[in-house]
Amino acid sequence: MLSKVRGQDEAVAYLSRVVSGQLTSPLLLVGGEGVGRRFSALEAIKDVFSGGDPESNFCLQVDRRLHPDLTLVSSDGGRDIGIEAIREVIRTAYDCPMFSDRKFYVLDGADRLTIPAANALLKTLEEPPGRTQFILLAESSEQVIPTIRSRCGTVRYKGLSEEFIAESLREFIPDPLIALVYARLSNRSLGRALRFFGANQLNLRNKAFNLIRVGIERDMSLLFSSVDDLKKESDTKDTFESDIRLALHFLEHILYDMILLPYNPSGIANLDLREDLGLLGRRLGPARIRVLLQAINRVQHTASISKIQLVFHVKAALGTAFSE
Amino acid sequence: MAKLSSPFIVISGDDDFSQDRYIAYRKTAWKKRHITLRDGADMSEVDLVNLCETEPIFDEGQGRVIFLDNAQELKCGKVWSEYVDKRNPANLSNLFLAIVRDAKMPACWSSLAKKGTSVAFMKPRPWESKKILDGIDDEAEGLKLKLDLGVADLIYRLLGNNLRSVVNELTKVSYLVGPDRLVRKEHVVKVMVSSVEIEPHQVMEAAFGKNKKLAQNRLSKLFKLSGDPVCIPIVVSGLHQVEKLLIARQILDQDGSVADVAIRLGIHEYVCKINIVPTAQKHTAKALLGHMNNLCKLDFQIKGAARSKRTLVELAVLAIAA
Repeated sequence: MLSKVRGQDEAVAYLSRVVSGQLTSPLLLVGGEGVGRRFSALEAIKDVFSGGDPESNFCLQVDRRLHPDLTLVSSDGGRDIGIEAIREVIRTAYDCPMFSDRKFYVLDGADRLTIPAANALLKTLEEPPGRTQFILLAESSEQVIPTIRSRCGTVRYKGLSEEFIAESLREFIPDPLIALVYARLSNRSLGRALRFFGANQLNLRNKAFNLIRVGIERDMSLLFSSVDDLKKESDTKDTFESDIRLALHFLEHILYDMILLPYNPSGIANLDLREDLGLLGRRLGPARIRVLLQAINRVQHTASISKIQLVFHVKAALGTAFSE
Repeated sequence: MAKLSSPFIVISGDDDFSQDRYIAYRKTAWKKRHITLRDGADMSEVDLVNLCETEPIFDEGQGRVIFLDNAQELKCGKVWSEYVDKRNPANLSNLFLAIVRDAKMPACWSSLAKKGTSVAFMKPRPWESKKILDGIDDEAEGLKLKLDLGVADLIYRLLGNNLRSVVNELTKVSYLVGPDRLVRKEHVVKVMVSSVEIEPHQVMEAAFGKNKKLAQNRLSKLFKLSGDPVCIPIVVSGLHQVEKLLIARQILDQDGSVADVAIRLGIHEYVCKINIVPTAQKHTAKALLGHMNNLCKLDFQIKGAARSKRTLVELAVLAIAA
């Protein structure tokens, strides 16, 4: 039910018009990971199918993706959505709905459509069948090709407030301080905060913090083995790389906290490490912190545009930054 | 071969050539027995037990021997161990010979090896050069050849640690030698050409060893054989090596011993002593860190749109070797 969606008033207003049938053109819901795009779209669809009855079986069918009038195409696992999946969408889009008076297609990953798949979808988006509604989800509207963007009404999801995320996490985390740490580390995304909590990523954050502790001693051997240590969180190469990326994200937060701590101690993300951050921040000094941040940003940038040997790049960047 | 004390024999090791030769010898020695050949990849544990429990149709008391090749492919468990326990070790009419073509023996075969006879044929490791040279001498002796001074070393440099090609080439040489059966270098050069394959890591080994000429030779040979795609493994192996060298150099700078380096890198102390430590001593920690950064830059460049990746790698190798 749309009433369950919180913290996204503008998006809820748009989706309410979809529920009432006033808005039938394709929608492009844009927002970062875990801000509630898919959740709110599905809740709106539940409203349409059940007529506002939360006890309806149709709601359960939507939750289990079993409702015949709902098709969800997603780019799970970071894979692109290919033309085969889109051809299947186009083939069935002109069929009549089975139970409801409208049918919905949710394409989660409009920014992950391959060029042929996006082009194949254009005609259908331009003139959608009368009783079919398309809802496209994307993390960034710039990544969606302009011809699709121009055919959809764009709804932007803003990042959620820290208080809202921390409050939502309190259901699972009794300690309010830890809930706030997860909320601040998640960059205003509830989904990401829940994922971090589920995978107990504070362990990884602690390991990232340990890199600074070790690096400050200028012991390359220990620094390199600490980078390798991040691997114990996962088994395969892909998950190791994603853990390293996440560790770099945490490291960035830690270094920003070291800069922020003397001026605004309650505004830092890693509140549970406040004392250690103060001590290490003083030992590192602002110049070294800046060098480290630059090194990390450089690695992150390089890793975002090329499939590099990430572990070695991290080792080289940290090794150089600490030994300068 | 010593007299058998059990019907079970396990041959293991990664030296296929010696294994094959031993198996051929055993087949000749047991030619009166019924010989059954099976492959571990095509059998189940139950099939194997059934095979061992049945008698050949035309058996007239001469006995039987079962050769199970690629035994490492067959996963044996309770059924097989029950059969082995049940089997009378004094009854040698039905022999079983498992051939494990791997340096590591699976648990079921190693326990069988303890109960029966075990023969291992391991390839000498790359650093056991004396053992390899002795092996070449032995093979020559087996062909009734005598090797002149330095010939064994020349053969090793040309053919590497490959006993099969050593025997093949020595057989060719045996037609050229005179009645004194003495193999000289000119005989070897006439017959053998270098077949030692260059691996990407060897380029960087030579470069970090400051052997510019060898590094360039290996690099051009690699490019000739594999083309531009070999740039990536060269750079990756360089990154692996520079990391090890940097760790070694730092431990040495802090007055650590070779043993400390070996423990930290998780490699044998001897390898560390003859390989890692002398190379690390040719560079300063700062220079190694610089090389690591340059290799990271190169890693990015060769995976991008750089025009001449080969030139970039050549320049990096020269810079390291300089």
